[in-house]
Amino acid sequence: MLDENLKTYPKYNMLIVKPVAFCTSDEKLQRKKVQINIIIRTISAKSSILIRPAGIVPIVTSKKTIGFLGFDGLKCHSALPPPPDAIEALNSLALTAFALSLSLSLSALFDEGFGVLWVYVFQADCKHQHFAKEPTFPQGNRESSTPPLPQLSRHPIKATLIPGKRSGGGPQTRLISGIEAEMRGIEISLNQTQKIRLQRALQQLESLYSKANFNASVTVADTIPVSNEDTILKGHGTSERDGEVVATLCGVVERVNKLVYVRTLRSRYKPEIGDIIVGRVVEVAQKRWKLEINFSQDAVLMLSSMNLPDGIQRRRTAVDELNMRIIFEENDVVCGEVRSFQNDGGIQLQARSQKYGKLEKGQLLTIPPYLVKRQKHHFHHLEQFGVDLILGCNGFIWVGEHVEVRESFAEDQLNNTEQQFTKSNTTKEMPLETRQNICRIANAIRVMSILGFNVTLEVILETIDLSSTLNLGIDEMLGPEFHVLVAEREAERRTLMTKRKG
Amino acid sequence: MEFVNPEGLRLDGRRPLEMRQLRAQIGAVAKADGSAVFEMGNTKVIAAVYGPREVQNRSQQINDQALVRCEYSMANFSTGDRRRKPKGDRRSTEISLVIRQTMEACILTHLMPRSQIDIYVQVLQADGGTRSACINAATLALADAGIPMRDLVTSCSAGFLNTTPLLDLNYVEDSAGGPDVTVGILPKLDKVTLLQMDAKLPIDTFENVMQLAVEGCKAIANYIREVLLENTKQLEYRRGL
Repeated sequence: MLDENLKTYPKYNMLIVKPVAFCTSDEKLQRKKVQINIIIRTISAKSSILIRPAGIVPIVTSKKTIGFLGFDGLKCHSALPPPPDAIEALNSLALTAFALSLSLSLSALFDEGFGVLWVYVFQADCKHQHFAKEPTFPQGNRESSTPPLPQLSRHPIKATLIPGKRSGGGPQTRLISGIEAEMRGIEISLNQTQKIRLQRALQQLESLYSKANFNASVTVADTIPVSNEDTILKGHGTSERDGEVVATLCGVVERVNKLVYVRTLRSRYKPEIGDIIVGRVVEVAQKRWKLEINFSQDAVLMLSSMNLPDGIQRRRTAVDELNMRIIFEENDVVCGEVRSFQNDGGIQLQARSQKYGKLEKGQLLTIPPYLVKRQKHHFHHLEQFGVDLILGCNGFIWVGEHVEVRESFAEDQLNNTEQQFTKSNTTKEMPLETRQNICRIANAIRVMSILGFNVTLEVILETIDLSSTLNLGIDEMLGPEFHVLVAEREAERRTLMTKRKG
Repeated sequence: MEFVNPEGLRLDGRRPLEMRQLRAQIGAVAKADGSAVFEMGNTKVIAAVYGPREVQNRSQQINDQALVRCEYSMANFSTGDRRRKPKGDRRSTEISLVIRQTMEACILTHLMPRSQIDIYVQVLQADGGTRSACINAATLALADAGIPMRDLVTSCSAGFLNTTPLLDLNYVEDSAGGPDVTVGILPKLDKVTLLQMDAKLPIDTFENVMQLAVEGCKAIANYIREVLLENTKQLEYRRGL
């Protein structure tokens, strides 16, 4: 029907309007990304409006502007009565309009909860320049609900951004994208109150973060300001271009004396000598195991940098080599320490102490490595749960049943050692309670990594406490409510910390 | 067919020099090292980056630099008619190659020797300009994965229909048969890494059209930069001290 009507009317009579500025009265709604293309055409004099979404009332504001439509629900928005000359114009033209292409139908807009939709209708011969001169709008409610003026002096290319971003800085905009980024990883479906609570918690966290550091974030190819270029050392993530220091990564600029480097957030593990890491055996090769450790290459654990099951220091023989699978097999989880870098950039591990070695009966969690801080202790024995917790620097976290570290080799030698190494604990069943504890701790860590909080023993224990005081089941810990609670708790904790410092 | 009507509007209501709406979201794939969704109007693309990781096929290992691989695919539901496409058809292998070469030009591969970087891009909705959208999505995903790069690569297409240069063609305009110039640039370095056109254009018009596409790339770069910076800030303040 639409097309028919279009055909019957000559083209010159048509009035096509596109740049439909729209705004909503509600802040909350503004962030919704909606692009509305409304083409309104005047067909001819005296024909009636063919399609008119309910609630639209044409209003005339000036000569240039033929029609000015606005609606808020069913109410019409206009502060001033239309000027008389405009009414004339309207009458003579008998403004007839119909919306031709609505990428979002107007009724759907109402369902979405849109408050006000403003549509400017301009005459066809009214060129762009007119807009620039003097856009005429009702004077009264310019502050409150006047729609933004059409931008005409804009750049020839208009990249339409998400309104939330474009509507200018401020914490609110940042917050909005925070919620989007919040969904990275697992989708947590939050209801409205939970969303608001989470927003508030995150806002609090943001405000706590020192503003000085906040501007240190860079993206790829950003210039890093340096005071005197002669005396600086360029570290990771930087390069030089035309005498300027330029970032090659996204992250935070760190300065240590003369050294300037970019600390990345989401990236693979960057090993340092002495780091305690957890890895998974992917290959048993000649005299070595290859371990997946979330680095750009697999790490190498040499047979010679392992303590042998019998505990004697001696040359490794061909027999030892053949029996390597007794110590570690493929897919075993192993804990070790970074020993050295090879000259090709790979790393060598060592496991020369009783605390290192194979990990059994537990869960391996992988979280982004930037959430694990290098600390004095990475091995933790949580006595109240009977659980061992290893926070590997590479973001692999082991939660498993507590194993007594064998004090001396002499003891080992007494009972058949090889047997002990491989089958030491497998014979005994783990009690249900310990298994539940392992799951609870693991879920606490998962929640924190989803929220992007630093994973330290202190915070893990607090999260576990929170879950058990609330009497939450282990499975409920991964629900949306608990995420929000943890975020609120963390905000509280950090506020307290900064207060204490101050 | 009339692609620009007398009022100076295109079929979808844009002006000739106007771009479609952009939207980007980082971190769409949980298991990947870096991932992003990028939308240009109705074109929607998802990209995931894995790596740098150990080379899967030993014989492909390069001793002084990283191996970059790329796989482009189109979801069956991405086009109007639901069609099952064979996996390695000529079009997708060609686009995979184009994306790989473009990305390889900006990744500092020598910093990650003996490793491999996999880029997977999939078109979820196709409405013209998938090539550009894929490159933009891949850039975002690489930056998210913390892979060192010379500069962000951004891409945009431009065409020439009804004697008007048009920015960021959609499907209808793309299939009109006119020239379609896809440009990929390094915005800060001001260098071109990708330039494709499968038609003929007079040299002076071509320059105009290409300049238009470059302007489009720069607008996209600004947007991507904003998104990345926002993401970094988010992660940093949430991590805490």
